[in-house]
Amino acid sequence: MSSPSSSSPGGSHTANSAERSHTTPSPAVGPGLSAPGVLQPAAPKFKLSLPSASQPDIIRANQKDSYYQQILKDQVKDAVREIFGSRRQHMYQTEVDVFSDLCYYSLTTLLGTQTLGEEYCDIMQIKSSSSTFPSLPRRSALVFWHVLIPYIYSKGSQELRRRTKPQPAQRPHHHAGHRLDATLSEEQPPREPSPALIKAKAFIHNWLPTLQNFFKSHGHSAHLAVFYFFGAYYSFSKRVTGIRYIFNRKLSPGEERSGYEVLGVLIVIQLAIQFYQWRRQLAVDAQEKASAAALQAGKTLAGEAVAVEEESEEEEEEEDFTQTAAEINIRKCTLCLDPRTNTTATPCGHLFCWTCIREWCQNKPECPLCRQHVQISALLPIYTKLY
Amino acid sequence: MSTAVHRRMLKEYLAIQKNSATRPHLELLEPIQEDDLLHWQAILLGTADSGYEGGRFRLDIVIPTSYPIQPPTIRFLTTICHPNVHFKTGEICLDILKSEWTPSWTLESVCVAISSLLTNPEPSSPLNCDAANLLRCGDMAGYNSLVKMYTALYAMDEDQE
Repeated sequence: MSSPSSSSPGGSHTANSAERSHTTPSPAVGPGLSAPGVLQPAAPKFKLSLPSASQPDIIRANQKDSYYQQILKDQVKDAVREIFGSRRQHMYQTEVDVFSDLCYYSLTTLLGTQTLGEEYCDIMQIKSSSSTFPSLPRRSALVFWHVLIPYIYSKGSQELRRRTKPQPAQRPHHHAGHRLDATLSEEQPPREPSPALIKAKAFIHNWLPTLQNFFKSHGHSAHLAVFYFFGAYYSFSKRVTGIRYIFNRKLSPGEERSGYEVLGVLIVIQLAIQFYQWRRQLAVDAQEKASAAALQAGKTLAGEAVAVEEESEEEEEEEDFTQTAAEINIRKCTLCLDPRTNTTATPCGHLFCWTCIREWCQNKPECPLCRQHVQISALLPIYTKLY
Repeated sequence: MSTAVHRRMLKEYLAIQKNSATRPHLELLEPIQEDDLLHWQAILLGTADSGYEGGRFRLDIVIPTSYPIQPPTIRFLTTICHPNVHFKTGEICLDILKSEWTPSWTLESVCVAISSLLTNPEPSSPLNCDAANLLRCGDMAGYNSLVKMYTALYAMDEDQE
């Protein structure tokens, strides 16, 4: 509610504590309270000597925030359910969540106060470039990035994926993985489909999920690693808007402030290992593809059919030493009609491939052979060699 | 392009070719084009003890890419008079093709099921109300003669190939 400049590192206990009705019992030093209108941009720019917040504080503040956000979300959800009925509440669940987050940040960050989590940990937002209290537009941008962009991004990418699925692509060239493109491209007018566009469409449709996954797992990890090293920006939204934290509690003598650099190192190692495995997998795949292509070249379906028949006959011949054809039949999975891989039993005792029965049970939780109810968690892989 | 469905269709294709002798009421069951395993055709023969005797009924079978998790879409191309088959579109009302589908069915067993549906109509869930009403009223003579007439009209044409 006021610029950091008005509170000296150690002072102003007395004035605030009475007025902070909504807060936690921390010994926090909140900034001096004043009307929201009076505060900020005009604040004098003198040099702040407060240290920037360390990683544990920021993370703790975030956890505290998400805890309160969850409480708010639940309450808003209940209210919406009471008013509109549970069907509508279910239909618009994401929107309701976004709305309650928006409320939370509007009432805290946007108004110029600390969020509950920040207050709990005695940290405060400042503009990193000038070390001043962030202006209203900047705070609005922060809330927008923090709450609305993830929503727009997920909706936009869903929509993009849906649109690129059927006929023509209306988005010629763009980098599908970029967050904003997913939303911007929506506004482009439809055009005549040309071969290039269709190609682009197929490309987007095939690669969008991959890129998204890539960003979700690796991009996020990398960002987290950077945070653990430098402790500046915990979330993308803060990095974009350039808002970081300062620490405004006086440390008692002998109190140490630790960082999370070790975690950062671990994440970097993890990423490096993942990259290495991915490269190796790529090489193996390429090899397999090459050999498969060589095998398949120039064969028609009839040719393939004969080939598979020969193959299965070969298999049978190989196995004839130990077993009869009937026994081979028993070992078949009735879903893929191939010999079972990773044999899995249902509670009723029927055997299938793990992938086949899992895929089916996600679709409908019953045994394909006897229709008995099957919990997907009750599927039992069998590691003993059966025959 | 889902490879799982193609692998399975290829297996079914081979099994069908192997067992072709053991299906008296299935004249034909094969992909329409050699290079498209997701679009099949079949010809059912009317059984001897029914009004469909002597008829040849052509089926159109479309395999979804999610097969065998999702059932195939099957309809009669030949006009047929049956309580559970739509007279105009050929749509078939059979629970195992809709809600009661399980992936243990194969195209072959589904065709056998349709063949037995011909002799065992279920008038309580009709797509052809006229035929179903005759059955529900117990007018077997009327029902059988109607079936016979339409079989003779539409299913015995030698040139339908």
